[in-house]
Amino acid sequence: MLGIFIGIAAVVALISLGQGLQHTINEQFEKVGADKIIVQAKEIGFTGQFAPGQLKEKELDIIRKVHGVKHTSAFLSRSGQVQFNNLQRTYTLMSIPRTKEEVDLTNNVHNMAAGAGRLLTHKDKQKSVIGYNLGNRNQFRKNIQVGDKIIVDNESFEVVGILKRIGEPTMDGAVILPEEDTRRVLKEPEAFSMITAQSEQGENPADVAERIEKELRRDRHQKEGKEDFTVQTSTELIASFNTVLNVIQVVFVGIASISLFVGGIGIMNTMYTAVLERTQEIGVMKAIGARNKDILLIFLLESALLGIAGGLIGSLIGVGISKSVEFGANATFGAGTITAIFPWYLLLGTVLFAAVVGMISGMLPARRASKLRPVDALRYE
Amino acid sequence: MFKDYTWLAIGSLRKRFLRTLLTLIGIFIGIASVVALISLGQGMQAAINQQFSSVGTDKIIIQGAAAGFGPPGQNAAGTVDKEDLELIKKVPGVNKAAGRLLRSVNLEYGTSVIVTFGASLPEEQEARDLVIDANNIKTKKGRMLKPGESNKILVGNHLWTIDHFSKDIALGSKMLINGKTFEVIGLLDKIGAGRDESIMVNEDDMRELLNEKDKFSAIIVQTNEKPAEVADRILRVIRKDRRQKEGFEDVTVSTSEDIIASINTILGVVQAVFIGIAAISLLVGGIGIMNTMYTSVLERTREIGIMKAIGARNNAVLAIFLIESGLLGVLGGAIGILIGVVLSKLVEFFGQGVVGNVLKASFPWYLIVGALAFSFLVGAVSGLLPARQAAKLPPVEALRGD
Repeated sequence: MLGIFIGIAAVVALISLGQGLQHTINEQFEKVGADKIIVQAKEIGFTGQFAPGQLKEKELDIIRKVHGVKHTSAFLSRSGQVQFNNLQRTYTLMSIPRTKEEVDLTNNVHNMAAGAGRLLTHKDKQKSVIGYNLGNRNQFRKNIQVGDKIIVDNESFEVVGILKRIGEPTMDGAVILPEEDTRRVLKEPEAFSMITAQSEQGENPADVAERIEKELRRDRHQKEGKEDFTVQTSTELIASFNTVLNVIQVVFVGIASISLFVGGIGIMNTMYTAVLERTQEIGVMKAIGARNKDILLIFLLESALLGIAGGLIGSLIGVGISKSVEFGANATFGAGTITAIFPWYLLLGTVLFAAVVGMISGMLPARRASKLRPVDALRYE
Repeated sequence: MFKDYTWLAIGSLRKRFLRTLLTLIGIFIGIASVVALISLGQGMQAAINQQFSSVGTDKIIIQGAAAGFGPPGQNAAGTVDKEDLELIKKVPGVNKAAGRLLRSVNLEYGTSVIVTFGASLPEEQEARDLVIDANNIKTKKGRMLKPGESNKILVGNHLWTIDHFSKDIALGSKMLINGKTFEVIGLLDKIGAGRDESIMVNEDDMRELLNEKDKFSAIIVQTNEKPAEVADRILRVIRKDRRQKEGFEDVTVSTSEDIIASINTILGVVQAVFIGIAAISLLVGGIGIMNTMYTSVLERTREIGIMKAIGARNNAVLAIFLIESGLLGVLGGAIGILIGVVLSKLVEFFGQGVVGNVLKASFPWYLIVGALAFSFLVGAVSGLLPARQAAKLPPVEALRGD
């Protein structure tokens, strides 16, 4: 039984953590909303800096005019050098657009919320909002506070806000500046790293995405399949993320269920021994009229009980483990890193599964017990 | 004496064949999964280290400082250029130095277009040799680019062996890079680590394609002295040239040893997690042994009584049971190792097509010996409590025991 519940505990802990992780990520995507469409230039890398099909103001204009597009926003992001407290570090600089609608959309897409101070508006100049890590993780041997000045490429910026923790390392280590300022410090007059479009209510984002793709293709004289850019809806993004997560989960749970299997074999072993030990007892039962079926049932129930008890204790321990992992992770990496979730079907499922494992393991021993001939059984030592 | 104990143990294991078998299954599944995961992990680490050792530990890489990961020179805050290359060449301890320009390019062939990595080869022979040597670039078909040649291209292994394009690439094929025609003169052998997806052209061609006059993505240096010291000197020279204070550099200088070390750290963590989870099944298997041994002691209470009555000491009884459980462990371990080896060979065989030749199973002797010793230990430890119980039985009660 010890064997079974260790196995169950491992499986429960891994599944609940995996599900929790998936849940957190999906929740973030939900906040982004299913109506978003993301346009990027194809590149080996992520910033659009050296992509052959760079996105610029012209592309933004084209996308803005596509039927079904409500708002657009575009940003530039790239590594930059930030100085504070007489130290220099390299962070991702990110731009905030020039109109209010665009700023709102950008904040929405990146889940940006001010943990201290405020977010940037389209009117700000020489102001900056910094990611969570810069304000809370002593990255410059002390934390940057709202009102502090930071130096980006020899220009001074006043920090007006610190973001809440987002949980994605790039954003938590980002330095956000107004677009014009970003272009100046990065010496990048026109390229964008990514363009986001929000589709009108009632429009199917996938259709809008297709229209955007067609327009850009036409503008660039490219045939279908020969584009040097990609257009993805947020739904597609979620799907690709989930596929990766699922594979990871399956691998982990697969390895953990090996121990469940080993535990099942332990039950089988125990039951075989039980049958041997009770050979005489079985003989007596049969002699006073127990049928094969009765004996089979008695032993099957016994092994199922072993499984269920193991499953219950195992689930409890598993819940304990993943709660402590959650606690540990959140204490180390900040609140909201991971939340373990225990849907009812996980708990019910594991206990049922343990019962089934118990029964299957008990099947062979129980059959052997039921087939014992009463005379032999009574004579047994 | 020990031999007798062993035979006693073997005899008792054979008498309870079925139970022994089940206990063994428990142990060998655990050992098999641990062995398979370790051997794959080690193999992968060895393969990656080997790729880096072909680079050699005497190399130093200089590139712009960047936040996060990415290809060299992409998304970097600082840049390196021809002027830096000349400076670096003069640093004492620098034997050879070469600059490389790596960028995403549009590659068109037949009816397909892909965006892939374009890399430059230096025009100067000595620098070119350094790049070819450090990256282990070999042609499988055709020939290497010569300095000064233009509009000629070398194609990375995956690009011509895996179907990326609507038709096969052959020597003499014409491909378009960013719209310009190049002739294929060499098809490359496998290099590994993502570089098999790239194409290579001469530096002058690359500069023209990208309209890039003097920047490099990275500068690679070969040294005859201690790499760490030379790296330090290089950083100092660059700092002085750019009038930057220590800690305020916009480039990073790393030795190949630094890079290997950081990759090994990541691999180590991944391995530890996998093996940790697999080790749970080993624990469960150990509990199975304990269970079997307890039952065995119970069953043989009378036998123990007789042994003690005719003069066996506590130590002898303890030894018999410990040997029995240790044997269970070793036997399970041996079978487990065999299964583990087969398993990881299978993964290697089927996985290589997907992941590439980084996936290699390796079985160092210490893994095999270690696994055997460990399984013996698991068996003996699991048997310790039951064996002690057996050893402490008072003979009178044991004889009376039913």
